[in-house]
Amino acid sequence: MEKPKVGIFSMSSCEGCLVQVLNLEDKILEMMRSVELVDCRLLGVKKSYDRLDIAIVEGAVMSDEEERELREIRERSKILVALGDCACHGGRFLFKDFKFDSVPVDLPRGLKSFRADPLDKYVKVDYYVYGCPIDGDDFLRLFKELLMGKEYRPAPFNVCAECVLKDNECLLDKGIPCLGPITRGGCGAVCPTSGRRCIGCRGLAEDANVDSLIEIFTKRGIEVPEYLWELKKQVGGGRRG
Amino acid sequence: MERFVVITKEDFTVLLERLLGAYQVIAPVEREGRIFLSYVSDPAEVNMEYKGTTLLPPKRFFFPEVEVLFTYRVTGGRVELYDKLEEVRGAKRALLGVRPCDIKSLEILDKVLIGEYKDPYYAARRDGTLIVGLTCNEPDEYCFCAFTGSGPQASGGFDLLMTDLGDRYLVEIGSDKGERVVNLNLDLFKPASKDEVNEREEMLKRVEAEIRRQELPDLTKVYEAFAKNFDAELWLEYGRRCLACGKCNYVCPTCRCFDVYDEPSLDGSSGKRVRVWDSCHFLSFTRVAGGKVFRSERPSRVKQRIYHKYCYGVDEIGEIECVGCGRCIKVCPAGIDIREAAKRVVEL
Repeated sequence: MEKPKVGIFSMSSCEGCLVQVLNLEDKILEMMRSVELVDCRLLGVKKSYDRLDIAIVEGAVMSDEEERELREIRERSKILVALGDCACHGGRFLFKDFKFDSVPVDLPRGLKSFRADPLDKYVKVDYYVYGCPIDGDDFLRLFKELLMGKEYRPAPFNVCAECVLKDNECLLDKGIPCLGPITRGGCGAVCPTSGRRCIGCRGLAEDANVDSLIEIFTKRGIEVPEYLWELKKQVGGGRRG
Repeated sequence: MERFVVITKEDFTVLLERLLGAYQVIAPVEREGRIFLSYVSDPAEVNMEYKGTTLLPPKRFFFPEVEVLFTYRVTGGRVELYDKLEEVRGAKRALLGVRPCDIKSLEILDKVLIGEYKDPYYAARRDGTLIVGLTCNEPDEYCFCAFTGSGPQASGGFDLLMTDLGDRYLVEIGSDKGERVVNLNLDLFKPASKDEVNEREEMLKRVEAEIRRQELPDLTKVYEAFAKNFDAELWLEYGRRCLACGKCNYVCPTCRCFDVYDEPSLDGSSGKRVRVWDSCHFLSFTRVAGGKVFRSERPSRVKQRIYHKYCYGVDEIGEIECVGCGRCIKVCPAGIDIREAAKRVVEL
């Protein structure tokens, strides 16, 4: 059987997600044995090819040129994977516009927002690997399931579920505006475990209840950030049936 | 053999050292002001003076949140299985300092997991674990075991049950296994006096009175009220508040729903089957082939857990499945209080 052809591409990003992939070290060699890597600038691979089985794209679209490049990648690929928060949501850390379909961090004063779009604004994305940066094992799981022809599913729970299993004290109870209750989990609650609030880098949980989180903030005397009010307009109390 | 013996706190440290030589010991430890159960290697780590409950219940030591059930390898067209049960079977453990409510929760789990269908992994861990309980001297604000019939007394389910009497522990022997531990350490124990046994009764009465200061109905008898009010307005209200985070399930000593998945190696030649905790609050919990989610509305998921505790348990195993530990109340970011919900349902 011919090995699946894989290309790895970067739009505008810090390439941190790709570094997470390279950090898989021993496993990356095994991964590369089961596929044919034909295109990856970071690894200095550039073979000639026509069609791709799997395109892995990190980064946000910030220019017309990137938009064109992305559309071209999509055309020649069977499966397109968005790798990391920039590719999935446009990237909070590129100081993007708040009124978007994601949970952003507070914008540093004086910085204007500018174009930083998620891939699916322009092309169909088959699979999303969330997080800033992504979790290497999460990527590995996706990779295996793609090779087996199975459907990859991100973690079905929000950050709180994993946080409580770490025996952590809830940051909300300490008056810290943690976004864990509305953020997709799968990260192992790494931020709250080290005492830092969740800033929502994996995007909104499937059934995020923004209304309730605002109530929780208010009850605990935590100032409700502007973007939560924006989110409330978009998703409110979450799914209704 | 006497049913009650006493051991001084000094001698208890000696006992702990001996237990550490013979068992893997799980005990309450304190870190940054929080109490949780953990494997220990030094008597100094153990904190038997804690108030209320541990953050997470003991179930994870019998039914871990992530558990590899077996691994497999494909060689020459044949599949070889290696059952992890073999590793679980040999362990000899002692679980120390568990509260009567948590002891009761293990009895409930037994009915479900070693009942009609036997979970061999859970059963092996239960078999190999000595249960040394510890009654409460001081409940916390979330405790309501007196209303669920699961405390502050423990009527069974332990090998030994300790009560803190200041400078010594009164120890009730609850099984042959427990008696063996006492017999092997006779130099540390002496028979309890009537006064000491009475002292425990007084203590437990005082704790019960403290818990009963909150006014709640008898939660072992709320079945009818719940059955009648399945469509009550209050469930919509709880549903609006619920974050569907599943923390209540994870900290509940009797919640035991799980999911199973396979984790193959990259080349497909080997792999493992893994069991992880699941939660009836997740949308994925009732997602079936084709994508349909049966309990897509949040009130129906909030209800699922609470009804399972007070009604479905009665149907399935003949008793309620809430032990009144209060952990779900303590961890709920939205402040959903199962006691309050039950009380409101009864008063409807």
